[in-house]
Amino acid sequence: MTDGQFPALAPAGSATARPEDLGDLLRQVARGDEAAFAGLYDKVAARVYGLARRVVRDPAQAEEVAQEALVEVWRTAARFDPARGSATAWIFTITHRRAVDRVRSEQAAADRIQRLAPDPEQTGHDEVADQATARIERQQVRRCLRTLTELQREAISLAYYSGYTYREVAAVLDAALPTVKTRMRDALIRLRDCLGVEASR
Amino acid sequence: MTDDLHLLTGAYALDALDDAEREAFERHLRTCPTCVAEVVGLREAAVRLADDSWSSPPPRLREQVLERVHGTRQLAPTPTGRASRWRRRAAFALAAGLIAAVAGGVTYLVQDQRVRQEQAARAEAEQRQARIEAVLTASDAVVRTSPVTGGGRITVVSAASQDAAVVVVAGADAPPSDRAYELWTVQGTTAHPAAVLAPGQGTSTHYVSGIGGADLIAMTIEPASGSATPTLPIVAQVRLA
Repeated sequence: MTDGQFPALAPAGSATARPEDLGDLLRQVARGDEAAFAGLYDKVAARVYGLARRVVRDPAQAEEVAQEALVEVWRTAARFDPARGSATAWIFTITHRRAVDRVRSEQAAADRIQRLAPDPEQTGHDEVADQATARIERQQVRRCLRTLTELQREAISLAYYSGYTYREVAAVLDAALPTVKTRMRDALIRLRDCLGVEASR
Repeated sequence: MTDDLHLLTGAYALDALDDAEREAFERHLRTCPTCVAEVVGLREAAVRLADDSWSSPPPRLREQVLERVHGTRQLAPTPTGRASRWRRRAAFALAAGLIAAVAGGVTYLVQDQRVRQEQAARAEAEQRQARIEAVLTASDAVVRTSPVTGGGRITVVSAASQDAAVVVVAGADAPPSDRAYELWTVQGTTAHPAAVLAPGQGTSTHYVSGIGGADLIAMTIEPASGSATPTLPIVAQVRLA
């Protein structure tokens, strides 16, 4: 077989165009490399804190959740398995789980119904968010969210951003449980296909 | 898997199950490879919802976290048996699901050749199937996937231990009948021909050996018989490392 020259490796719309070095950092972190962890912190802290803030609302609690999540990333880094998803997914799954556990333990479901109003303090214009890639990614997520049906969008927003269980989502939206389960799954499938996310990295 | 539990993949990826249901679903995941494969993909989508929530933390958080990390002992990796079983299941489920779904899959190939009573070809197909299974069940198998320009997906299950990868092209836009998709292993700026799909086909499974040192697997559209050098543009690429 002869070899050909590849003059330019144009990304051609591939999802791999975005450099993903979080996985490399995480592998170094798994070996106890504190400097690598500091690098990882700088890459993800604004999103970790932002997500915690969005779910738990209270800044002081969000700070605690972010701290717990980031320390858990350090502690369990050796258990990150690239076959089970990307480093980004792993880190934000830990963060989200922590945030959700916090709101569920802190407040009864009835209290949380009160938190449906949008958070006026939600930051979107800080210096980190102004990075071009962050902006592009955010626009992509927003564009993809717009392709969902109203019920799909509400179902995943209440679950992801407010920490509701699907039973609570069904109660809030006055929808049947199987409908909510299905909408959540359909919504994520549509989002996955729209974002072109890699199943694993 | 039962339909009922399977429908919970979305709620699980969104952390929308209560503790008891989460535990029950995680038990179910240990015996449901297709659910695992689906959860992996849905979770990637779910965490992108965090992209919309950037917020600068107070500067003291960095110091506090780094200080706590300094005094926190790290856990050992998960015992390999469990992790690799999970990985094998995920890789196998994803690839097997795709293979089952597409014409040109391994089973189809084997059956087709049985019908034609071609013993030699059949033995070769069985060998090919065995090689594919060796990749899918390797303890170091990694699944990566990427969209194809114009539609469809390319999924690569690679295993360094086998020095090979299984490439599944599914639902790609069918090229004209005198053109074919060609797969390449690319190292630096050098592309080696890896496989040519049947002309006009946008769905196929291929075993690619000799991936050691390759940076990525790429796909282009070429004349029906394939080319020695790739014709740009690249319609899909998946990094191997």
